[in-house]
Formats: sequence, structure tokens, C-alpha cells
Amino acid sequence: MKPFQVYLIDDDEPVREAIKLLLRTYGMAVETFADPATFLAHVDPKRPGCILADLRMPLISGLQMHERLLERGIGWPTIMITGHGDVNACRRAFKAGILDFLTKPIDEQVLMDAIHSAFRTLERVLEKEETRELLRSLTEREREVLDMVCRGWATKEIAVALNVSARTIDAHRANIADKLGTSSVADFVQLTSANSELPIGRNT
Amino acid sequence: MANLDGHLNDMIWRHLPLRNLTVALFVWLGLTVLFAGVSMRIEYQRVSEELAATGQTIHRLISQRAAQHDAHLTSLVALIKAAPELPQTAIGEVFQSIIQFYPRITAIDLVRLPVEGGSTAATLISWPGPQKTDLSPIASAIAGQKQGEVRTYLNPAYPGRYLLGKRATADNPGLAIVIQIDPALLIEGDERPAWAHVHVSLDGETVLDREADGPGVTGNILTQPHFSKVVDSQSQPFMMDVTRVLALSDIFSGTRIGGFALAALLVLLLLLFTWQLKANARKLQQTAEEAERRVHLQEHETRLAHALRVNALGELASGIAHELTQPLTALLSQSQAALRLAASEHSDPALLPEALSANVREAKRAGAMLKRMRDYISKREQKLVLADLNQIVVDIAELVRADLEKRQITLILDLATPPPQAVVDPIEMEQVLHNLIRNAADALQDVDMVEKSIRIETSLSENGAIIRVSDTGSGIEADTLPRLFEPFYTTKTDGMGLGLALCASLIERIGGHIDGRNQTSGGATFSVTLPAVEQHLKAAQ
Repeated sequence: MKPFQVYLIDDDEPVREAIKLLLRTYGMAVETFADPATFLAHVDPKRPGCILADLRMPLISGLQMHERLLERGIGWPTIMITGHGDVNACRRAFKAGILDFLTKPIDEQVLMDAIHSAFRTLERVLEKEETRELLRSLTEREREVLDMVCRGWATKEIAVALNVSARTIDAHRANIADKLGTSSVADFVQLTSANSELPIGRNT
Repeated sequence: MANLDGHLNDMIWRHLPLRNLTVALFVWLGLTVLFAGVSMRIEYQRVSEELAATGQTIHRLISQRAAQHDAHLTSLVALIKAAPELPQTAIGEVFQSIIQFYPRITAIDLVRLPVEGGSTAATLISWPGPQKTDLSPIASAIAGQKQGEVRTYLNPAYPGRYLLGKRATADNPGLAIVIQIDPALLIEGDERPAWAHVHVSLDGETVLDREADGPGVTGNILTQPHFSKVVDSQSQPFMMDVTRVLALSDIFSGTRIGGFALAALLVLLLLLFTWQLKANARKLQQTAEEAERRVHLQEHETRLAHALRVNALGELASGIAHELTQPLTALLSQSQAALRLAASEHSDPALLPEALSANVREAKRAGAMLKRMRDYISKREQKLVLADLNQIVVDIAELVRADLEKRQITLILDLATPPPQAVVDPIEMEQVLHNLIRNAADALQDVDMVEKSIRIETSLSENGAIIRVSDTGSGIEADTLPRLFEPFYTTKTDGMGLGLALCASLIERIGGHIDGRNQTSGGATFSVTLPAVEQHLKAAQ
């Protein structure tokens, strides 16, 4: 697993320092922010990480911050921490796509499990983004051909369906293999399926 | 007491408005004038009637006397006729005796009338003699009288007298009887009241004019009372006038009117005083009502303040709970970090003491927060009194009614008689009831139904006094029921889960208990059971 950044946003300084110290004993790189506005101002899309944010903070709440990040295309997994075991706030948080919801005080084990889970999710998210980039490089016709290949159609069948010669299909397949960096049908299937269903959500 | 009365008087007179006094004065003046008028009118009427009665009396007397004169003449004529040969002295004696008995008859003469065409009359017998009246001026007139006729003669020759003449014989020249009458004696002494002005006249010629003597001689009233009648006599048909000269002072009774004025003044003042007393009483009552209303309002404000304090306590508890999680979070994470640091050989040795001192700071921070909350809660002292639970319910109902109405919730009170009593702190009881009502109202808030109502019921059972708060909401969920009074347990979006916990602790502190359950008909019922008064007293002993 790649060592990702942990972004900790909480308005209470002792809490920030304590959690930061704990995470550092696990060798994690932790960056702390006193409020969402500062984080939003400093966040670097090229340095992906897991977000650990208090739900109730002055001016901008944890959920609002999460929404603003999504607007900017930053879909990093977010863990909400809160002082209240508020059922409704919890429900709202999950609806908004929050990865996990922890109540303070947070036990070390629960926190570490949540962060590791977040890291795994983040990896998948990044992979998926990569895949999406690769698929985006294909032409319209190439994606059509890829789709049929993934369904297990033979070159001839595809050629008949698209009303072109088998040689043309072969050329397309060569281009696809070139762009995606693999010629294995199994790899094709995995790539496309990873793109269609996003593994976002609680990973237990 | 005297002091109080003095104060009362002082207050009344000071507040007796001048306007009222002026009005009273005018009313008094009007009444007095009216009374004087009526009184004088009545007096005038009385005087007129008196005058009429006097007039009638005098008229009757004069008429009687005139008839007597006729009778004398008749009897004298009869005497002359019956005994023409009677010696003159005998006749004179008859004359004398008549005059003696009737002083108003001043003289009686028997005359021989002159022969026709003549004018001298010869007096045959005259009484009183010897000064004989010369009757010549009327003799010829008497001679012309019919037989039996009596006629009255007024003649300047006989001042202060009138004469009655009657022919005694039918021969010519015949005899005649003439009697002279002093009209002044037609009315004797006290027969005429001093005030009466009697005027007797014959064909416009004055026979008698007796002016009034005594007080009220001069009059100044326009219409004088007056009596006028012709004397009932053919021979002496006098016109008799009785008048009374009235002055205002005669019919103006100073004492009566003065007495009335005084009485009216007293009555008016009494009325004014009573009215003022009433007005003052009304004002006092208004002031009292105003004060009562103000006290009531103040009580409400106090209760509201308490209600707000309950809310504030909830908010504070919420804030404290939130804040407490912060040091606890820091403590937990830091301690776990410290454990890891202590276990690891490669860690920075400076980090461990740092973490521990941070822990100490955080623990102190948490302690300070708890102290703040304790301070707040212990601010108020519990005041236990024997209280009427119905009254507490009514008071809190007043407090929440407006809010419930706004939320379209009907509040039904079902209070037991006699009112159940219990030893409680009324303010705490209000806090408890306020919480229960608020919960009920919140439960109704989410329900979609036409009939939303909260019922508060008081009753007395063997176990003690009971207050029940029921709602027509959807009831309590099965998994919530066992945790109803657990602190920080809530099903509300913004609730802290302290309300019912606080209620339970307040009720249990005074030996009561609270429970919540669902009704079979739906909705929830919270029952507060308070120890019976006797039990409480026993416990106190």
C-alpha cells in the first residue's frame, strides 16, 4: 500500500495534536488544519490523501467542505468525526458519500481501521481515474469494438455486426491493445467493469 | 382607626373635583328655588282659601244681620199697627231695648211722612233722644215706597250711617219706621281677621271700608286674593268685597325654605360624598385589579424565565457534552499514542513527556468544564412546599397554551376535586411538566392528524398524587421505551436527551417516580407519581 497523506481538519487544537501524534506513531504523514476554509485554500489535487474532518465546525461544516471538494473533482475518501452520536447527521453524512462516521472519543483501533480502509478506497479511486483516462483516449469506434470484445464476441462476429471487414476490426483491436497497454481480453473486462461500477462506500 | 378615617377623609376631599362641587351647588340652588316657588304657591293657595272662608263667614254674618234689621222693622211696624194707641213712651222703650241689644242700630225713629208734595217729616218718636235726626231728605222717598217694602238709604246727611225705611201705615200721610245702622258694627270685633280688607258698597257708594290693620298692609303681589259677593238681602243688597293685601314676605316662609335648603344641602353633600366614595372604591378596585394583573404577568415572566433556564440548562448540557468530548478525544488518542511511544524503541524520547503533559492539560480542561456545569445546576436551592398540583398544572397550562395553539394542539385539563396536594418544589414541578408537555407537542408535530391534543390529568390514588400527561401522537417506539429516562438518549433531531432524564432526577429527588408508556388507543402517557402528603410527613418525622 502506498503511504498516502492524512488531512486532519478539526477546530480544537489539542484534539488535532493528539490525533496527529497517534497517527505519526504509525508513521503516517499528517497535515492538520484548524478550519475547512484553510484546508480548501491549501489542498493540492496532486497530493491525494484521506480526509479526517470534524462534522461540526464554525462557518463551514464538515459536510459542506466535502461537497465543495467534490465540486472541484476531489473525491478522496472522507471520514467524519463528531462529538455527538447523532443518527440523523450520520444518515446525512452517508447520503453525501462519506466513507465512515466516527464518534469522539475515537478508539485507536477504530481510527486505524477506518484510515486503512480509506487508503484502500483511495487507491481504487486513483486506479479508476487512471483507467478512465485510458478509456478516454479510445475513439468512439474503438470503444464500440472493445465493448463487443468484452462481451466475448469473435472478430468475425464484430465485423458482421459493424458491417466492416475483419481486417479493420483487427486493426482496431491492435490500437486498443496499444492504448490500454494490454492485449488480454481478461484485462479488458477488468478495466471496463472497474469503470462502470465505482467501489465507493463502506468497506467492511 | 382615627388616623385611618382622617386619611380617608383627606383623600376624599382632596379628590372631590371642583366640577362636582359646582354642579352640586347649582343643583342645590335649583332645588331650593323650586321648593320656594312651590311652597309660596301652596301658601298663596292656602291664604286664598282662608280668605274665601273668611269672606263666606262675613257674608253670612252681614246677611244674617241684614235679615235681623228686616225682622226688627217688621215687628216694629206690627207693633205700631196692632196698637196705634200705645203711649209714645212704651214705643220708645221698645226702641231703647232694641238699641240696647243691637249696638249697631244707632237710632230708631217713628216719623210721620209728609203729605204728597211736601218734604218735611215729623218725627214722632225717636231713640235715642233728644238730638233728633232730620229725616226730611229721605222722607218723601220713603213715602213713595210700597207697602211692606224696606229700602236702604245712603245719604250724605248721615255720614257713617245707612238708614232703613219702612212704611208703617197705608194712610196718607202715613207713618214710617226708620232705623239708622252703623255699618262699622255690621262686623263685630274679631269676626274680621286683622288682615282682611272689607269693603261694603251699594250701587258703587261705599257703605263700609274697613282696611286691614296689622302686618302686611302694603302688598306687592300682582294678583291679590279676593272674595266678592252680594249680601243675601232684598232690602240691603250690598256688594261685599273682602281682599287681602299680600306681600311676598307673607307667603315666603323663611324657616321652611331655609330648612329645606339646609336639608337639601345635607342630602346633596351626602350623595356627593357617597358617589365620591364609590368612585374612589372603584378606582381602588381598578388599581387593585391592575396590580393583580401586573403580579400575574410578573409571575408568568418568572415562570418563563425558569422555563428558559431549563432550556438553557439543556443547551448548556449540550454544549458541555460537546466540549467534554474534545478533551476526552485528545486524552484517548494521546494516551494511545503515548502507549505506542513507550512500547517503541525507535521513537523520539522527547515525545512521550510531551504527550503526557498534554494529557494532564486535557484532563484539567475537562474538570473545569464539569465544574462550570455543576456551578450552574447548584445555583438554585430546592424549595419544598405543600402545593396544590391543580394550580401548578393550571399555571403551566397558561404558559404553554399560546404556543400549543400556534401548533394547533388542543390542551385538555382534567383536574381532580378536591385538588391533590403534594410536597414539591413548584418551580421544579413546572419544569418537569413543561418538559413533558414539550415532548408531547414534539411527538404531535410529526403526526399527520386532524385531532391533535394533549391531556393533563390530576388524580389521587393510594400511592399518592398523580399527574398524567398524554398525547394523541404515534406513541413511543418499542426499542426506545426502556431507554426513555437514560441521559443523552434521544430520538429528536436536535435533542440532547436530557429532558426526561432531568425530569426523572427531579421527581426521584422528592421521593416520587415517573414512567412513560403507550396507550392502547395510541399515543404516549407519562405519569408522575408523588408521595402522598401523609407519607411525606411520616418520612419527615
